[in-house]
This record gives sequence, structure tokens and C-alpha cells, in this order.
Amino acid sequence: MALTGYQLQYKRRMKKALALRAKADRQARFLVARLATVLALGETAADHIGRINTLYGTSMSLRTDLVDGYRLAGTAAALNQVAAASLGGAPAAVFVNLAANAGGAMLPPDADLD
Amino acid sequence: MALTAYQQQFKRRMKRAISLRAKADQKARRYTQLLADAIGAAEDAAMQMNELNQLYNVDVSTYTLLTQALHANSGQEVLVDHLSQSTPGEELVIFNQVPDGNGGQPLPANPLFGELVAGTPVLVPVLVPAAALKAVAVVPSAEVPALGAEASPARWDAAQD
Repeated sequence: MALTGYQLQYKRRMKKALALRAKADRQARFLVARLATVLALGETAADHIGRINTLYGTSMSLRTDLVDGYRLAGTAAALNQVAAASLGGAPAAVFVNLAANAGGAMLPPDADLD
Repeated sequence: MALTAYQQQFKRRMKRAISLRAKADQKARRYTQLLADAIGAAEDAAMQMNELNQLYNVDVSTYTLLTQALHANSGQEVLVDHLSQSTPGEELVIFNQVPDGNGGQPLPANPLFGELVAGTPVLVPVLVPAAALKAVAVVPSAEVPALGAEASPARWDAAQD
């Protein structure tokens, strides 16, 4: 059975929105991992500076404000937890279960969705 | 006044550690901004999904699990908050505050600072009694300065330029 204009429109719009959702997921997933890695790098630097401070009796600050803020907030652990708890991405969309209501006529155009 | 080996070693090690710190800060700053943008994109997508769910009376999840978690923890606001609370970057290193120590002798090489170590690394205490220092010194004892003889901060900031 051929899809009505209404169903085709839904399919087109939903595909576009799902692609947006999947793209955001991919980006967020990549960046969460990178940010966690970089925060670990900041801890390595802090460790080095701490050792130097001990060895030479200096008091250079161990972390920058940004990295220290993340450390205090426990962000690296939180990010890893979030990434680990979520699966790798977008569930498949189910297109087949849309009833052809509204008489099969398309809904009005929409700047965002189309 | 020329820098002692001890001061030069400190300068070299601290420069390296500071650049590590700066690199981490730079990257964290960049990824924070990008991640905040990605969460914003996920929220835009969720608005569209929500609109579609209403228009067509379907029920497709508006977020993925990951972006939902980030959104629920108000990730974007938190991240931008972190950024705005810290000014970009690295503080200047003030090298001329380093008092000369260890009789001007460098400390043992340490792989932590990216230095090559031959054999087992042994950390010698910074403050060694002068007598003990003489006992193990390979230089003639007349050339071993008494500890504390150069205790005043050496002003070698001019010398490094």
C-alpha cells in the first residue's frame, strides 16, 4: 500500500529530526570522552607541579582555575559515568506504525521540521 | 649572576610541567565549549522530536540516553559556568623566586619529568648535612659550598634573558 502524503511527510520530517538527534549524540559522546581524557591530563600536570613544589620548596599552583573547578565538581568521574551508562547512540526509528489519519493530507509546512 | 645547575634544573622541570598544565587547560576549555554546543544541538533536536510527536501522535524518544543524561544534569549551563568562572589560561611563572638550594647541585634525574634515568632512580633528600655531603661528594671538598651559604634568593631573572 502506498504511503499517503501525510505519512510521507511524517517520514521525511522524522528522518531529519532523528539525524539531528543522532548527530548531537555522536558529538556529545566524542567530546565527553575527550574532556575526561583532558581532565586526566590536567591531573598529571598537577602531580608534576606538586612534585616540583616539594622538591624545590616552591608553591606554583597545581591547576588552572578551569581544571580545578572540574576537579572540585568531580566532573571527570561524572562524565565517564554518563558515557558508560548510555549505549552507543540512536535507537532505530519505527516508521511503519503511523496511522494515516487526517485523511491522508499533509500537515502545513513548518520551517523547523521541513 | 649565573644560574646554578640546581636553578637551571628547576627552571627546566617547571617549564615542562607548566606547559603540561597549560595544554590541559587549553584543551579542557575547547572541549568544554564544544560539548556545551553539542548539548545545545541535542536540545534543538529534542524540540523537533517533541513537535513531531505531538503533530503525528507518535512517541519517539526526544533524546538519546547520553544526551538525556547530559541535559538532565543541566550540562550546558554547568559547563558554560565553569568556563565563565575561570579566565583563560596559564599564569606566568616567576622563576626568580627560586632560592638556590642543594648547594647548587641538581637533584637526581626523574622519569616523571621526562628525564632519562640510568639505573634505579634514588631521590636524595634536598637538605643534606654538610658533613654527609662532603662524605659523598665527588668534587674536592674545598669546592663543596656549605649549605645555606647561598640561601638568599638568587636574582637571576636578568641572567636568563
